[in-house]
Amino acid sequence: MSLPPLAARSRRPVRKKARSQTKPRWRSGRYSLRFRALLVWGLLMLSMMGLTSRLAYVQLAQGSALAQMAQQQQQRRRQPVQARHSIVDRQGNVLAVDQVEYTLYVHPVLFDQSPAAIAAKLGPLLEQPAEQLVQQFASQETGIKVAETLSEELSNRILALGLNGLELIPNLRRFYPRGDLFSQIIGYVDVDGRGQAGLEYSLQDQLLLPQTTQSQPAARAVQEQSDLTALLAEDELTLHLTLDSRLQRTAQLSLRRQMETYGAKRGTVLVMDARDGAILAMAVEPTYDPNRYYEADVAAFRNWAVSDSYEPGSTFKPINMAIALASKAVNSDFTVYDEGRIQIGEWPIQNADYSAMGGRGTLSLTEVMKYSSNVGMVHLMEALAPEQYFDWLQRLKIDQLSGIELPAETIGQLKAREQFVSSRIEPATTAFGQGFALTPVQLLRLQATLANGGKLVTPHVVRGLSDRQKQLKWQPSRPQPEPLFDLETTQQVIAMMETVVTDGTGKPAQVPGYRLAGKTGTAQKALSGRYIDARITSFVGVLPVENPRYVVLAVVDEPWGDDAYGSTVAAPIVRSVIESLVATEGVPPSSASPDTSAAE
Amino acid sequence: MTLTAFLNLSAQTWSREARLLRWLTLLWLIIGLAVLYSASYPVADADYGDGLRYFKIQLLWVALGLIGFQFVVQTSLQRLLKISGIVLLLLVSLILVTLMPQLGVTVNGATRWLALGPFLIQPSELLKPFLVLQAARLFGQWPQIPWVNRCLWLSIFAAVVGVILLQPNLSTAAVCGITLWLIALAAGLPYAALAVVAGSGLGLALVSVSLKAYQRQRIISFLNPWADPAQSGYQLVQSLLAIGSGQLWGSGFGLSQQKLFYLPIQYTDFIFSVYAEEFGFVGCVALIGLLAVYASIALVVILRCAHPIYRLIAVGAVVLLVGQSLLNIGVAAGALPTTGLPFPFFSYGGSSMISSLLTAALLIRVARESGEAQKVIDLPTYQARRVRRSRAQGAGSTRQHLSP
Repeated sequence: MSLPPLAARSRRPVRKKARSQTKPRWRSGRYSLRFRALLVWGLLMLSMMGLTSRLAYVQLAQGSALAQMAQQQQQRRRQPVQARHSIVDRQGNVLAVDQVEYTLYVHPVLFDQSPAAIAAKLGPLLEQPAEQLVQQFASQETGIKVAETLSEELSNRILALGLNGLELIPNLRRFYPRGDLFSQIIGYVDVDGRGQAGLEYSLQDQLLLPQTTQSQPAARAVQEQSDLTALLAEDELTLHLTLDSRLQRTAQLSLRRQMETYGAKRGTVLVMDARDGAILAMAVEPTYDPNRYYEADVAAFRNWAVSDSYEPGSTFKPINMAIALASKAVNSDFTVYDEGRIQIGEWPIQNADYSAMGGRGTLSLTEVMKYSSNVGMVHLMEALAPEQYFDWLQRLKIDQLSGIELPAETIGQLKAREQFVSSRIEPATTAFGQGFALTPVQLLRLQATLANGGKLVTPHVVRGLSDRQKQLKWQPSRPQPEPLFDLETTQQVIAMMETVVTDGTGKPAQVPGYRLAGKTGTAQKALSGRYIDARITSFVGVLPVENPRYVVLAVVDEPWGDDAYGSTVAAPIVRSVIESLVATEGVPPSSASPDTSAAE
Repeated sequence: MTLTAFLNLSAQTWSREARLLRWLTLLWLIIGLAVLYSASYPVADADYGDGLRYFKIQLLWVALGLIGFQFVVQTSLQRLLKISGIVLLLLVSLILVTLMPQLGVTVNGATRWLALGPFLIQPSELLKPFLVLQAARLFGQWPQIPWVNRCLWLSIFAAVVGVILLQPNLSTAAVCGITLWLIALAAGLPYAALAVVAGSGLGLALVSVSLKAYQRQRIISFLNPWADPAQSGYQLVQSLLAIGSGQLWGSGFGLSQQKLFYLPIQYTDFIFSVYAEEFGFVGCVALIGLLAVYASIALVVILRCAHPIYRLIAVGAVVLLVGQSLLNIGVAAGALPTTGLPFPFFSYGGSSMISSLLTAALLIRVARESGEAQKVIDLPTYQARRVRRSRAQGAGSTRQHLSP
C-alpha cells in the first residue's frame, strides 16, 4: 500500500486522528481511499465491458436478423397507401373514391382531465358508453386504439373537444359507394393500397396519383399523411367508365333473381354499345363487396365473363349464318333440308326439338334461325369448304384477347386447323356452336358486328382519365375496328333474328314498342372432353332492329330444372335489361313494330 | 460567448489532466451535437417544418451552459461548496413547486418541468451537480461529523431522492441514489453500512414494483420485449432494431432509418440507439472507449487529489457523467428496464445540458486545483485549509457550514 507522497504527507495527521478515534481500518488496505476510488472506477469499467458485450451480442450476433426485421418494418411503412383517382360511371356517379379516415388512439398518460371526464365527452361522439371507455383507458398507459374508420367530420368534432391525450391518425381508404355492384369491373384495393382485381389492378399506373418527390421516403409518408385531405381535394383527374349505374343495377338484380329461381351456379349480363364497343353494363355473379373484400370467397374475385370460356351453343348460330352469307357460299334464298337427326361418322346430331317435331323438311335460312335447327345449320355450313370455314373462325379472333381493360382475360379455344379440316364432325358441331369455346365478352363482341354493320370493335369499359372540365387527359389506345362482315349480310342476319323474337324461342324477351332481334342458346356442358348433364343457357338480343346499336347478352350457367332453357332463364333477364336500357339511353320506340304489337 | 469561452483563458497553466478533461468534454459535446443533429432532424422537420429547430435550441442551451461551465472552472471549489447548499435547497424547493398542480408542467405523464418563458426547465436535472457538492462535503468529512449532522444531511438527501421519486422520476432518483452511494463508497464508509443502504434501496424498489402495476409491466416488458412488440415492448423493440441494424460499421452518419418513424423520443432518451445504428458496433466501442478514457483520467485526478472533499466531487462528477451515460446505453440496449434518462451531452434538453456542463466543470476544477496546486498555488493541505478558514471566518470547524 503506497500513497502518493503528497497525499501521504497531507494525510498523516488525519490518520493519526482516525486511529485515536478507534477506527484502525480506516484508510488502509481495502478500506483505503485509494482502493475505494479504484473500486468506483472498476465498477464503471465493468459496466462498460458488460455493455460492450451486450452491444456485441445485439449488433454482431443478432445484427443481421434485427436489421432484416427493421427493414421489413420500414418497407411496410415506407410505402404508404398511395392516393388514387376517383372512378365514376358515364353519368359521373362515383363508383370508387379515396377517403381520409381516422384511427383514434388514446394515451391516458397524457390526460390533463380525469379519464371519466374525457370518456364522458368522447362517448357520445363515438357512440360508446362512457363506462366502457373508462375501462379501456385503464388497460394501458398509452397507445390504446379506441376507434377506427372515423370520418373526417367526426374526427374534426373530436379535435374540437381540445382534449389532451387523444391522437387521430389519418389514413386512406378506398371506398366503393355502390358496394358489390361494380366489383367485377373495378376490383378492389387491399390494405396496403395495391390494386388486387379489376381496373384497380390493371390500370394501377393510371389510377395512382403521382408521388410527391422527396428524397426521404419516410418524410414523404409523414407529409402525405398530414396533407392527405388537401392532396385529394387538389386531384383534378377522374377515371370515367362507359358503364351506367342504373343499367348495371337492373342487370345485376335481374340476373340475381333469375339465378336464385333456377339455382344457377353463375351468370353474367353484358350490354354493349355496338358502335364503338363501349360496355354499358357488366353484371357478373357470383360477386363480392369490395369494401369488405377480405370476407369474400376467393372464387368470387374471378370475373368469369372475361376469364372463362364456354361453348356458346345456339347463340353462335347468327355468327355462322353471317359467315355463310358473307363468304358468298350461300345467298339469302338458300334452303336446306332438315332431317331432324343425322349421323356424322359415329356421332348422331339432332335438333333440340327432334323428339317433339321430328324432321322439319326444307327450311329457309330464316326458318333455320327461327327454329334453331341444328341439322339445318350443319347442312348450311357444309356449303363452305372446311378450310374456308376455319379461316373465317380465325378472322373472328376467338383465339385472341378481345382487348378489354380488365385483367386476367382468357382467349377462346379453337380446334387445330388440321383436326378441323380433316374431321367432318368438327365443322358440323361448330355449326351449332359447340366443339369450341369463347368468353362471354368475345361472344358479345361478335354479336356486336351484326349490330354495327360488320365491324369487329374492341370491348371496353374505360372512357379515359379526364379533368374537371371533362377534357380527356388519357385514353387507352385501341386498335381501329376491323371490318368483318358487309352491311347487307348483317342486316339479313338481324332480320332473321327478329323472327326468333316475334315467332320463335325468343318470345319471352319481347319488349312492347321495340323491335328486337335475338337468339336463344341452351348448350350442353362438357367436362374433361365429355358432355355432361348440365347446361349453360343464354340469350343474345340486338336492338333496335331498324337501326341496330345495342347488344345484350345474358348467360346463366347450370340452371336447375327441366324447363331451364335460354328462352326461360336468359331471355327474361334480357327483357328487363332492355326495358331499363331504352329508358336510360332514351331509345325511341320503333315506329313500325307490327310484329311485337301483334304479339302483345 | 460560446465555444470561444471554452477554448480561451488560462488553460495553458492548467494541469495536464484538467486540460485533457476539458478537451475530452469538448469532444464529447461536439459528438453529442452532431448526433443530436442527425437524430432530431427528421422529427423536427415533421413536427415543425424546421429540421434544425431542436439543434438550434440545443446550441442556445450549450451557450448558456458554457457560461456556467466557465464560471465553475474559474471559481474555487471552496466558494462553490459554500454556495452549493443554498442552491441545492433552492432547487429542491423548485422540485416541490413542480409537484404543485398549477405550476408543474406535465410531459409524457411525469411532472418534472417548470415553464420558464417558452422553455421548460427540469430542476431535478440541475440539482445533480449541487447534490454532488453537498454529498462530497458530507462524506468527505464523515468521521469528524457528529451523528446528529450526519443523520440530518442523510435525511435531506433521502428527502431529495424521495421528492424526485414523487414527480415521478424514477430514473433521476435512481441516478442520484447511485451517485450518492458511490460517493459514500469512495469516501471510505464502512462496507456494512453501504451494504445496508444498498439493500434497503433495493428492498424499497421491490416494494414499489410489487405495489405499482405499471412498473411491474415495465420490468416484464424489459425481460421480454418481443412478447408485446406493438405495445409495452415497443420502445425497447424499436431501440433494439435500431442498434442491431447498425451491425459492425453502422449505416453512416445521418442514415438511421429507425429514427424516421419508429424509434420513439429518438432525440432524447433513445438518442444512443440512433448513434448505434449510424456508427455500428465500431462506433459504440469508440464511444464507450471515450467514456473509459474520461473515467480513467478522472481516476487519475481522484488519486492525485489529496483533499478528501474535492476528490469526492470528482467521483460524483464522473459517476454523473459516465455512469449516467452507461445507464442510458443499458436502457437502450435492453440491459436495464426502460426508463427515461438523458445521455449527457447527447440528449436534447437544456436542463440536462447545463447540468452536464456544470458537472464536467466541477471535475475539471478539481483537476485544476489538485494539479495546479503543485506548480501554481501550492494547494494547502486539508489541515492547513481548515486552520486558515477558521482563522478567516473566526469560526471553528467545517461542522458549522454543514449545519443548515
